[in-house]
Amino acid sequence: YNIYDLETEWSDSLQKYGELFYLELSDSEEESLLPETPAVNRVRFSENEIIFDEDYLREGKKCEPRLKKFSKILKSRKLLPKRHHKKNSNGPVSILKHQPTQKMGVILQQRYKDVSVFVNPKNATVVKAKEHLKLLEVFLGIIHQSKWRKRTEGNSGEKLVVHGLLPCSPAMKSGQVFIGDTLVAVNDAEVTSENVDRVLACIPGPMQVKLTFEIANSGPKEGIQPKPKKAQTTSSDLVKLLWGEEVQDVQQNLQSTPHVVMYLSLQLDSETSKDEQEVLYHYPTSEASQKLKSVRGIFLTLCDMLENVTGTHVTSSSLSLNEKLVHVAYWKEDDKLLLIGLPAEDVPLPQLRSMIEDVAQTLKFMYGSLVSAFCQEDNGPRLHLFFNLFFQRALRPAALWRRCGAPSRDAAGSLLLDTLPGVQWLPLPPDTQMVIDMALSDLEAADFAELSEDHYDMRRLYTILGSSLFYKGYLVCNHLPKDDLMDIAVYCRHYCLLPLVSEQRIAHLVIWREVFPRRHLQPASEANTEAFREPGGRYFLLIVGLRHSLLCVLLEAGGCASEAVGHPGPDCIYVDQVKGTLLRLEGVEAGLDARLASSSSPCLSCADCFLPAARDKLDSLTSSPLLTKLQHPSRSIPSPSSRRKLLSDSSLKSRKLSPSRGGGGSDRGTEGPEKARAQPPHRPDPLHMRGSRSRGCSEESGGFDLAILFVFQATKKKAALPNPFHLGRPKKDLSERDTELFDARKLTSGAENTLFHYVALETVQGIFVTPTHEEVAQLGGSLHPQLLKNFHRCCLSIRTVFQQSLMHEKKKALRAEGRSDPTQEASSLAPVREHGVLFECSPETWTDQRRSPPAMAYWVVGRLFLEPKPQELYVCFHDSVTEIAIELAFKLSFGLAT
Amino acid sequence: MAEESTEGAVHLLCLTTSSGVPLFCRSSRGGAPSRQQLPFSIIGSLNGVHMFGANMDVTLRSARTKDTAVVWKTFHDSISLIVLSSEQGSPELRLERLLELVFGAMVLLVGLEELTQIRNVERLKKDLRATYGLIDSLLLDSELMGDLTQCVDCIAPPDGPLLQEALAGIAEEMGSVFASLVARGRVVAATQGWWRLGAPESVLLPWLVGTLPVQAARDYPVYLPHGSPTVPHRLLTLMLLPGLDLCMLCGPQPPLSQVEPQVLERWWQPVLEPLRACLALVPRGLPAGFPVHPDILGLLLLHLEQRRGLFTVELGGVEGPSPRSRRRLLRSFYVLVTSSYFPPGQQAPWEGEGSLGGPRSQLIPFLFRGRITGGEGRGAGRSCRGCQSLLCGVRGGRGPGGPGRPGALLPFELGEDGGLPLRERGHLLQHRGLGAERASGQAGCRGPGSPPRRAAISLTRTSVLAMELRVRYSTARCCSSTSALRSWEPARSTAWMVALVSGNRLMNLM
Repeated sequence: YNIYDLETEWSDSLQKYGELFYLELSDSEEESLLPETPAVNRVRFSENEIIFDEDYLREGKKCEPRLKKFSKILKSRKLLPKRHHKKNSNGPVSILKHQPTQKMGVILQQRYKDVSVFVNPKNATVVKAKEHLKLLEVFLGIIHQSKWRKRTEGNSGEKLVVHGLLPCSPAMKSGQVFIGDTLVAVNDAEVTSENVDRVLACIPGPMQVKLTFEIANSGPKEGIQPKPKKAQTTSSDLVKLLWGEEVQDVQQNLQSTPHVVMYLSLQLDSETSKDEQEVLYHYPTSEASQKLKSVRGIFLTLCDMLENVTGTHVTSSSLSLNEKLVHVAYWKEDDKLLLIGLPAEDVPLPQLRSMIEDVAQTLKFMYGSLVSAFCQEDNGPRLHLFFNLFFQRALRPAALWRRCGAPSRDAAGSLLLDTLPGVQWLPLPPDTQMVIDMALSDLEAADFAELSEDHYDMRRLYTILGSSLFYKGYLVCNHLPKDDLMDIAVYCRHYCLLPLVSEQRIAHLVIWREVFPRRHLQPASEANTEAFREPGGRYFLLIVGLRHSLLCVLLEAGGCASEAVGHPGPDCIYVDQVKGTLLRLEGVEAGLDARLASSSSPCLSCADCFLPAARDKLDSLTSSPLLTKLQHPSRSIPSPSSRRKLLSDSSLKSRKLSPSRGGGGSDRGTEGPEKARAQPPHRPDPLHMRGSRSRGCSEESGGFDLAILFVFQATKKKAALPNPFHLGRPKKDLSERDTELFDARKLTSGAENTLFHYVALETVQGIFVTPTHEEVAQLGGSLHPQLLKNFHRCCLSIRTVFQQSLMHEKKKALRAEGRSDPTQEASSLAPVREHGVLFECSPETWTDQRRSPPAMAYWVVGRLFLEPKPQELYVCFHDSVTEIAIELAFKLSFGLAT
Repeated sequence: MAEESTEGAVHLLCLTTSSGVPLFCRSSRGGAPSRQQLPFSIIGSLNGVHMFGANMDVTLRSARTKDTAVVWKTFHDSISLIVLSSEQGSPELRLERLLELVFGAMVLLVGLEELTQIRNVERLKKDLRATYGLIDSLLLDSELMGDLTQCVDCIAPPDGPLLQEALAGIAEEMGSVFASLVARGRVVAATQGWWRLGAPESVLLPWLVGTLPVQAARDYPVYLPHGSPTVPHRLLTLMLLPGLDLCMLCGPQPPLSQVEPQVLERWWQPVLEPLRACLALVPRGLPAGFPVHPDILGLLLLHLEQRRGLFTVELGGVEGPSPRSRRRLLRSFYVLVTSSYFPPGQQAPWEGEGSLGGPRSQLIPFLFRGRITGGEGRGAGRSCRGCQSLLCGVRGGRGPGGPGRPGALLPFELGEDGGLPLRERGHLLQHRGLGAERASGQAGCRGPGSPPRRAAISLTRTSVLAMELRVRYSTARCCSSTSALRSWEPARSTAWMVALVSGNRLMNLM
């Protein structure tokens, strides 16, 4: 069975080495892009075609590949007028130029208009099958009554005058097609009533189509004016980058920042003393980068000399360029030197080091080795794309995540999360998890339908080694070993696939390439030749994306599957099966979305509620997240003013008590809700009162009980109570199922929930858990985003300390084999296990000049575990309660386990 | 070269910037002087890369391998200093400060003019030999901390006012405004003029006195790198007791011969006992009556505004690491904290642009805590012995307690929730410190320009850094259940190390 027999959307974008990168946005995304860039938003990118695109860009034309392809098809079916072939070998040119009325340029502008519409033949075919409509109506929604036309004019190649528009059709949506206009060309192919169906039938798949109309009234109409441009949908920048298009403003912003990547050869051929022969690769071509390239002698000398002096590889150097400090990281391998230089203010040195490690790892994953990545002749454009994306991510991470608007994705945040050796994992309820696990297992078993060997009675092409599923950028299920997962995650990270799927619904994404996972390429240890050794084969990565899901599958050829010959392209059957799995999981998506929308365990607090000022002002009461949520359900209370009075009263009274906030019982953390359930709600014990009240919020969504509780508390117990507005947030999602699955867990000790944020890294599994963007967004607050920013920066420096301490420990372990040096042992801060920093912050906008702004103190604590398994934990909590990081870590891991 | 040979080695190279002629080359290994030097070719290429970059308008600042750091620095376009260090925990911050101090030492003894307008390289080389002693002491393990903190190392004498009075008297009689008592490199008491000395020389002069061979009296020409880098002054030192020198900076007058023994006797005989007490105080730094918790192993207290510091690791406790490693621990901790949280000359990285807007809004790291646990035990796999240290620092933004409240220390007031025992300890220490200040204020030992009241009012910024180091025994083992969680808790704490850095006039121990 030959895959090429089957015509698929992506089969045309297949590359020379069988690689494929096919991306198609969903219709809604596509249309949202329309007004901004009418010509360039075609959704396909393939690695080889970058060169092709660049040719077009050089001519100042932005011609989309799909348009070309369509024109190609048209040409091949001899639908395009011949003169186009002769005069323009480069591609189709607007037929307007060949109109006889060329002299009247001004009028021409008014007589013709180009309208881009998005056509999806697949949507249309269903309709078509039922009614025998013309393609013009089905695809475009343009009604043309030819018979009536025929009667009046009677010639066969009659004009296609728009007589009507179908509602909700592409033509209608465009808002630029009017009754009376005449369709003269589709994608520059002249159309008449004769050939229009044939031309339209050539539209291969969902795509943009350019329609050229002759305007009925040559006088300018208001309606013809193009719509005012929408606010920039910034996410298209990312998509454009992925397609390899040059995004001018994005590129230019980087021009001023010195950044460079170089691949240098350390072995110089003295015979051919060509200029710059040692530079094997260099990107970009900006001035600062050229400057850095011109001083490559420094890097080469340092690399050589310092290794001689110290016996270890040089890792980095810093230099100032135009009064800007630039760090350069080194990666030496096989007598070649990879250098990446980035300004210190954007990327701190430790992060730069881990970035270059990631780059080297990704390139090795994609090409086998750095040498083959950089030295293959036709790799240049792909590497340009690769490093363009890399620098965009490094220098303007916010831009790529802009549309998310998630406060946790600031520069420091993405630096931290991108350099962590793991992917963000989304813990799921067990039943959802099981459904997904089973679906993936079914796929991996590959023992059904066309995947099974029996079906064709021959060896299967590939063995599925494992798969992992991402949803909206979170890992939801992983059936891959850690190393493979990391390889794939780093690859996805580099191509920004995770932000892409989290932001946009993609209609179809297929990535196929041969990969070189490090786990399989490490030489087998000599010691255990008896042990099972994995068969040496070739490995292929298949990523299929659908809507917000991304399913990555690692395939093995050779071993028990048949050997791969040459550079095989993606196999339709595998792609379809993976896609089928995604479709099968469609039902789970609602559950996943609900999981994302609901606040999970552990609960977080918003930093703003802890400011003393928030209690001072009456107005600020409403801004407290707890209260806004409470007010909503408690609408049944007759007069809002009385309620406010009540609340403010209690809050003001309890203000004085707030400094001793930490006084509550410390063991009530997790068992609070259960206790509360067991006890009658009106028991006059303040602690239990609080528990039951918060329970009341989550269990009874009606506001009445709540109000009673409030009244009760305000009248009888308010003096003895700590501030009621400083409770942990009640669960937002009130459905019972979720309440059972995810018991609101409080991580911190003490009566209140003082946890602001956390990052827990499981090094063994290559995952980390941190509150999702949605959770953070729910918290809101003005101070909280700043706190997060600070938290991330602090985590970066704490993590650096941990890394250094781990390095020292490794060195010490090596040294311990030789001789023990007791004097060295305690002379450095080597084995750091825990590191905490206390911060104080006050609100940004403080208008009251007389009083000093209120301040809130919080801890950022990092903890490194080596036993029982390597783990890192970073938490951020309020200063009022003393926390022991170990305890938090245990609670967190147990919370995740359920 | 093998890895072994570079263990803990520091190489300092000094070259002329224009011609690249090496002026001197000093090395140390493991805290002791070393004769092993870098090969000439290495020196050449180290300087060569820097020069090459300078020609291309690119200034090479530093380079690192896994265990070595190299820092380049050019002074006045004339002298290039390169340091190559493979000491543990020596990031660029320490090395850059070292280079600045080394250049300061060169100016101190040779003069800026000699260094910027080099006429005869051979003669300069010969002149620079005089600086070797001082520079070597900067490279070696020192009992002092001033090279790192850029603050003058001081001790807190029990009878400060008396000594201060005697010092002021003799300075007046000798016609010098710069006078100080230096005990083994640490300043015991000094006149207002001496305290006004600029940054490098205020640290370097006591340091120099500490490194010179013991002599009864010296008349030493010095340039002041900050104050008068081209015109030399005379540094007169008179030994009052072995290890305790009276230092004065003078102009051409008076000659050393005029300083008669009678003068000395008249001023110092009455305070001989306090002087002796000072000398006895040297390793400890704090008066005997000043109780410090026995668990505290070391102490670093910096007064950032006055640029004075108190550094001691010999507080009496014998358990725990040796004084030498305590010193190194505290030094590396200081480097870690200052380089990552309080970078010099700028705000902390998270206070920079973009993070927060308005001038009022600041996120200030003001308490720093870290625990350091030792590696796994060598013996039984289950119980492991390690040392754990808890570090704590405080830095308030703008007087959290408001001005005018002496001892208004927000972080320590937070201690009421019974949180960290450290806080209580800090509290205790703080009170003692403030008590000392009040005592000295009442005695009127301060100069006329600064009444004791002001000291309290100017409490606008506080910065305290503390470090605890405790040896702990814990049974860390595989934990998979909550019961195992308990065994992670520290079972016993035996030793503490606390270091405090005080921003403004919190403590006037010095």
